[in-house]
Amino acid sequence: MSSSSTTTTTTRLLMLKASDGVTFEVEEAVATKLGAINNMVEEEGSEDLICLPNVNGKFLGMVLEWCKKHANNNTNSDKGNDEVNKWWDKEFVMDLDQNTLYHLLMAADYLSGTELVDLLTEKVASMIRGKKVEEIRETFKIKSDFLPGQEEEIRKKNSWAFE
Amino acid sequence: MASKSMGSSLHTGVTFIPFDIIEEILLRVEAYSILRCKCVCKSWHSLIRDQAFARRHLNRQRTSTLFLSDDVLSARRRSKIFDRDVASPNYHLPKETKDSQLAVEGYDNGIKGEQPTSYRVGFGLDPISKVFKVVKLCAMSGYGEDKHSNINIANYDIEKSLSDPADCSLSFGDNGDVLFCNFDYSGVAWYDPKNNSGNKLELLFGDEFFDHVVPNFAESFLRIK
Repeated sequence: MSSSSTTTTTTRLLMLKASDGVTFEVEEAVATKLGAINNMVEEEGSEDLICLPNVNGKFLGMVLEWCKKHANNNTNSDKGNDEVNKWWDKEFVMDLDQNTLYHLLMAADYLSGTELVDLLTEKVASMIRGKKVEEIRETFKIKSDFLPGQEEEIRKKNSWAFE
Repeated sequence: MASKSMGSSLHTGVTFIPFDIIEEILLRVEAYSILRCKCVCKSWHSLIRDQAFARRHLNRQRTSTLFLSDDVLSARRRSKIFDRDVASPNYHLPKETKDSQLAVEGYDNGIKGEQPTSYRVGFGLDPISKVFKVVKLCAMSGYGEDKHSNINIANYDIEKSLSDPADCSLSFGDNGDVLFCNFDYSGVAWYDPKNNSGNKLELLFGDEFFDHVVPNFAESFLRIK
């Protein structure tokens, strides 16, 4: 998934290395959409290879794909960027399976990709809306740790939420 | 990610998701589902009943002081208030505060803008509109917030000051939930039968629309059944 850069641009390229050794060559302008990378570039300069030991190649690739798309959308057309981004974001999260979604969220959070974190948390939140307690537990693989009776008590107090 | 009273050590099932991200997710869930989320597990339960969480939840939303909101106040009522604004030197429009919410205290004559001294936030059901809301209840200066359980409230009528306290009721669970009725008026006065005293409160409502949370991404995910 390494990005093949076009040689005509004068944009600086950064080399990002994921935890599993996969490397990505990315335009600086794209990579610095990620707060964490931006900080590293500012602190250490951009000549070096940037190692990201907490993100594996699959998810780093996806995060960068998102950054690239947004960067392109924002330069290519001056009108309707928001529309394009919105449409594209929708596509981007639509088919993610839960596991990928969670890992991607972690990667985006680690890389401080604020907008992407927003997008993904919103997606996860949408999986909670309107669901029953049991379904929410299933979604998050959570086991109830209430003592017998405790859950009943809470349900009773909030009975109007369960009608 | 301001106050993290919960810490990140609390577990969730999907263990690699830190708790502060869980919090971010739950902040985007509307009041109706939030109440169900309370039953999921202990750590979610304590997060949701935490005042700091409820405040953040409220602040995420388009909150409006009732005095200025088109949605909540009838035009008739608003115009009365604004008439008074012009007429009465005692009335000041709420100023922007840090969290842009400011309660307005009702007086027998005129209204005076004042900073709430304390407030509680909770998730509740408005049985009239059948809408689940986040409610911020401000106690005005000099009135403690300790008397918040099962108190009777009366509509605070600008014309008549305190009306019949048996009108409606407002109750708080120990957990900070608010179950309330009858909020036609923005200013409410409540009557505490134990102390045989009346006090005035201001209710601020957050509405339930989340499209501002992720701008331009509204239609796809929003709305509950």
